[in-house]
Amino acid sequence: MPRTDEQEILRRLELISQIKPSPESTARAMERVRRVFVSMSEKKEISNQIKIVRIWGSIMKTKMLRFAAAAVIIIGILFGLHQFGVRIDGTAVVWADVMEQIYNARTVTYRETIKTEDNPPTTVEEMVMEPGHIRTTFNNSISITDLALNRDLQLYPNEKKATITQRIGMKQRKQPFNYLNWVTKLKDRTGQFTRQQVLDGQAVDVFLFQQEYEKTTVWVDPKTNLPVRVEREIIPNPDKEIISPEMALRSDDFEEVKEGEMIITKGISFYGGGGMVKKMIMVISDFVWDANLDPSLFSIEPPPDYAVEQEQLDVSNPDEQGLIEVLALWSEMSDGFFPSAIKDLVDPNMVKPILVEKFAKGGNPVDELELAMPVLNKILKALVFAQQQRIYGEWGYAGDGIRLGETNEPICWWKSDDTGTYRVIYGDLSIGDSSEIPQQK
Amino acid sequence: MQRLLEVFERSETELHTLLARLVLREDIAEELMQELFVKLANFKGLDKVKDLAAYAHRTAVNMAFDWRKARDKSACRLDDVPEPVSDLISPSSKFAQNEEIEEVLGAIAQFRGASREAFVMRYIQQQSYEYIAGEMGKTPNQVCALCFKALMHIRYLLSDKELRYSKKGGRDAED
Repeated sequence: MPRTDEQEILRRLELISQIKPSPESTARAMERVRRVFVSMSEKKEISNQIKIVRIWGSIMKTKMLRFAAAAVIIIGILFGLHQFGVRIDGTAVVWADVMEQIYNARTVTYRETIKTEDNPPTTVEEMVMEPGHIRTTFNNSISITDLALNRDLQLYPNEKKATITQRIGMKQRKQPFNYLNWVTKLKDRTGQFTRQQVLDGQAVDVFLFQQEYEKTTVWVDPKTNLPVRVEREIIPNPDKEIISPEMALRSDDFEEVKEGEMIITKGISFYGGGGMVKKMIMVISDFVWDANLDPSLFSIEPPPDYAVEQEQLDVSNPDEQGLIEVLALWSEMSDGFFPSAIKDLVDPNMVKPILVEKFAKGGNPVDELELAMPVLNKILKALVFAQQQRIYGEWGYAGDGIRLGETNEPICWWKSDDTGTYRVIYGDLSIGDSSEIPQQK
Repeated sequence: MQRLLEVFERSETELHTLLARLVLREDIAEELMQELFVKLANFKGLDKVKDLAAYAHRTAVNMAFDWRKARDKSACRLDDVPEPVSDLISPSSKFAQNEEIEEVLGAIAQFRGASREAFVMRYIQQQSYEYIAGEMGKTPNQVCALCFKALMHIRYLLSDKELRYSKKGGRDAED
């Protein structure tokens, strides 16, 4: 054995510092901790946290576009099952069992129907394989998502086209993202066993989870402790100034599309919590838990005979810098004027002309649409940021009639609950702090 | 609970890796990871802990070394022989290297407090003095001194063991 001088000790320490447990072991350890949280949830309420879920989808259509907007929403709503969480009251033990069963499931398939005010009901078929692989079939298109890689593959079999979207700006998880692992994301919601019921000839337990902007009912098979049906109602914020940040652009917004040519529609929709959404009801049914699914169904490699497009989508958190960039863009495209109201950022009658003016240069309409989408993303994110401030703190906007460069004019300001000062953006797009609500000159 | 969830989200792999390095067994590291969060969740003073992540780290280190001490006290069975948890240790040198790092970890287990905390962060987790200083509320120089002191202590312990080993004519005699 070597003499244990300092160098020898350091060499051994170096060896130790290089040891890494296997991914399987880490996954097992994480699972055990999650079970701790499940059991603890029986005893304690878990406080809520502002959680922004970003939703994005793109579909390609012919001139039959009436489903386009709905599709954008649907793709977002597919994350519904993942989002609902509970607080356990008197029925803690029973619901904890359900959560554990869900967590233990490695695959699930189900059908999800979305009803919104503006669109006819739409149904998608979904398959989930852990860790974090999702396959959605909707209207002759297939969407495959790998949550660990932050990557989506959209397939259009009729056209033999594929789009790979890499989501950027979000922290790469060190562990595989488990789609069904919402147990660890428990939120401050009251949940209670309401009744037993017969559903499709089967005795089920019914649980109700209700919070400010959401009501979820879960029908559970008591034999398996697994959900057989979920209904989730999303309720908009009663504040009429809080609106759903979503918009779709079409390639023919930019250039004329000849008869018989494809019109591409792409949309972005955010679900920012706090009722920042249109009213909708989702019904999730036809669950098959732990089905034997072929892993190749979740491959994010496009078929070899498909034409492939690659794109990126910035899904970083909305922040004040993003708001400043959007105000700068707006003023640049509007003779120096800022938006007259912050909700102009989601008004297609105002946003589309700005994007068309900036990107329609007589080229390929699809290319121009592609260039415009990241900017639309920024604009909607700026709105999400502003609305978050309004929902969770204080927000004021006074940009109407102000032009870029009016140094001392406050454009907007906000204050979070936990800070004593207002952040203020001025007419020259500088940003500062103020102990009181800024006054316009 | 929310804070605990945040710690879990933020440090899950770090804590598990740390435990694996300190106990050299995957199964035990998994068990300790669970025990750690049970312990934290049941700790009544949790709300008063300012830096929960640092507290979780300290608790994990203490639990790992407590496990080592308890194991060393108990009778050694064949299936208790530690398995290397890293592919970086080649099979041919597995046994010797395992013994070597077991010795070092055993020595670290002999002291507690700030020295051990700093030492583990520095040499097991490869953190900078500046980072450790920030975590412990000390200056980098103080951390450096703590680590040096710990290193000297380990050297003394291992040299002393070697001395006893050689005097008694080998490991069998010592055991």
